[in-house]
Amino acid sequence: MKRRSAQLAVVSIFVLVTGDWLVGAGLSRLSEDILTGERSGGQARLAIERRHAQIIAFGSSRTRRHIAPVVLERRLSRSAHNAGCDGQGIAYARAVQSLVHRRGGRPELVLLDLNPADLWIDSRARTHVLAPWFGATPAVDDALGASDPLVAATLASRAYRFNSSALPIIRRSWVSEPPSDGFAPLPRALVTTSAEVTEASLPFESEAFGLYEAFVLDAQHHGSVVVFFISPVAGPMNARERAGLARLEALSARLDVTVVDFSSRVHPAFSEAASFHDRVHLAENGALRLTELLAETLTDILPPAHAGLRGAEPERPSS
Amino acid sequence: MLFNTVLFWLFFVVVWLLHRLTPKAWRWGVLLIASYTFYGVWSPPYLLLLAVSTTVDWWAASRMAAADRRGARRAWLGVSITSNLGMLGVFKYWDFFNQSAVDLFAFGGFVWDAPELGLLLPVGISFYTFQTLSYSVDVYRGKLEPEPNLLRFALYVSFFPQLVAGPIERAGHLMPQLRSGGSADTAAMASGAQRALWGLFKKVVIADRLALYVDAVYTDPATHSAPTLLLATYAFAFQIYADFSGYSDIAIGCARMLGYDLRENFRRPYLATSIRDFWRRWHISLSNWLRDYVYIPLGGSRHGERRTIAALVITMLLGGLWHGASWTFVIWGGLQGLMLVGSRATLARRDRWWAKWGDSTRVRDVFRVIVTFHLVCLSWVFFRAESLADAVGVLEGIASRPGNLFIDPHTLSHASLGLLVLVAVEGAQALRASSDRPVHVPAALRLIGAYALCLLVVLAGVAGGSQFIYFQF
Repeated sequence: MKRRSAQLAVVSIFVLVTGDWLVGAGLSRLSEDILTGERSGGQARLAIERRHAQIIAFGSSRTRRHIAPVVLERRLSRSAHNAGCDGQGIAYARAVQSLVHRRGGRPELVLLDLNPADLWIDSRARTHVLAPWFGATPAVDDALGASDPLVAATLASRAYRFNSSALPIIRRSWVSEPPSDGFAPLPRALVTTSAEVTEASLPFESEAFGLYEAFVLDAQHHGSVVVFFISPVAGPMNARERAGLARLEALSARLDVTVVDFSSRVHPAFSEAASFHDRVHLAENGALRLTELLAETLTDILPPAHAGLRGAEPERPSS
Repeated sequence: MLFNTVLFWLFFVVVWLLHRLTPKAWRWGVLLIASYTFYGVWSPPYLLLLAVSTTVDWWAASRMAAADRRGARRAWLGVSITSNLGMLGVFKYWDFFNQSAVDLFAFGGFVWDAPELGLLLPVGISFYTFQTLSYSVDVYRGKLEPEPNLLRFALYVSFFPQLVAGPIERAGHLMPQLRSGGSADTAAMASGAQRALWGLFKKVVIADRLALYVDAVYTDPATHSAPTLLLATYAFAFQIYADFSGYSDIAIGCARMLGYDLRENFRRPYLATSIRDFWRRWHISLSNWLRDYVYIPLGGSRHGERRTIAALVITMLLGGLWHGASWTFVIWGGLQGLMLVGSRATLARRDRWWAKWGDSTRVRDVFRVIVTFHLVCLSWVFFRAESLADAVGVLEGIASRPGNLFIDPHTLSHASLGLLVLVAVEGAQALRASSDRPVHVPAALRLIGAYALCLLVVLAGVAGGSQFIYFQF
């Protein structure tokens, strides 16, 4: 009886492990061609595909919704890609940057949204979408919290790496959407600017500073010029945003990184509510204006471009 | 240590192995150490509270059994009740009653300045105090012989699968099993594993996913439209069911894998045809406890209609307060009491009305299930809302705020997948329960089902180990 139970246990474990491997491999294969959607990991995959773009913008929704690569390409004569992702923060940006570098991407210019929310929202909280790349780079593992042995143990399951992304992957494999340059503008919809004022509660997540620093050092190590930009908010910044931004600006000064500040405190172009979708996101007209202004500043930073756009077209995976 | 974390399952495997390798006579020792470790991981200082509660009740019950005079027995029962309710009063209700008194005095123009304790609520205190209270009362009533071994009694109070959120066990059911040392055969192991997996599925695939939507709406109900508030309320009905019954399933499954049988706590409650029927299906171990130790001692239905109504309302108000130190829970309990009274008062008239329509039992039952479900959902608004003002705001919003439905497709598609499986499985269980012939499910089909559940937990569950709702009670 005992022997039979033991045999049953061994067979069950074998079936579970094999099944896990098969499901993980199947989903991995299915996701290879999916280059859209933040929940499916499509945007991270697209950023890796577009790794040879000369300008790559990283960040949260305030990059994805604000930076129009087509404007940068026209104004700077360089290929550009927007690798921003809704709901993500500096941990995601740092991890995707490491994946771009690992696959040979060497952008000439790297843009990063200086986002004070990174200082009070745990930027690692929603990075599970990067789990399919577990083990690919230390930055990805760090974003996934894999230094915790229990997390690492769960990530050993190949199927679990697609936790919460399997359904979006399956859905997108049926309804294919053309890959974009990452820019996803928002409609004009702002009604009020007073709803989201929060208190200046401290302390900040200190780990975010380390991630910003690692992002800059890694970019510089790979020969990129780093420029931070600050997106505007509709109406006045609240006390916490001001305090967070001051800390990030101090960090930028220490790292000797140029900061282009579009916040309404210094930039009159975004003082009107008509430029906004909501309090922290610009509408399409505002985003295009922001990218134009950013490109104008960048012409002073970047040397004249060579003819032709390198890495403008998405490349298919070699394997 | 939460059931929906890897750490718990590693812990469980170690406990299971040690339990299996230990002679039956000493298995309770392994479980006692495991149970105190399980609780201590959450808060070591509150282990002391658990130990004090255990010791006082064990001692009081022993003295009670040894006493000749009824007065002495009653005095020892008083010691047990006072210590249990005293602990609950200090750790759970002090600040609530204090704040209520402050508000009441302020309303009358007076200043009341009682100290606020601000104590952390010990996890599971409501569950284990009720469990020990029932032991003391049963010994007092002569229904139960007191347990001579303090440590074995300590295991009855702290048995880790059901320590923090039930099912609330009775000593007459659990103590003999703990004494004899549990032993699970292959069938019990498989059935226990299946039950625990089903509970885990309900928790991480349904409850935690729905929580994302419900929390987003109920955190700021004033900004949401009627359709959104309505959907969030329905979602909460399934969230709390999946969360709490999921916990009970895991508890029952784990205990079964160790060779112990715990009481059932849920029986498809949203198929109830009346509020009374609902309480026979929802949190059965609590409703039985309240029936045996509150409702019946208050007179039950033996002293006329008025006394019955009073007993029902008082019992449900206490049941509401048991859930949490907040007026929203008191009102939730009060609503349940009033609905029970209303259901009782109108039953004969409703039956006569249905009789006019001839033999339409099935239609009547479907209608009753729908009405009962909506009455329960109405009361869930008070259960879930952060405050009384929020609860009223939700009801006002549902009644008067038309607008667009806020949908989070990612969250709702995952939750819908889980709900589909839940409805299919519980529907099949209901059919099987109502069938005269036993239905045999082939082992291969059960294995495939279990594997599909595993996959859903892994692929569609919410990772991160969020707390069970009933831990706060």
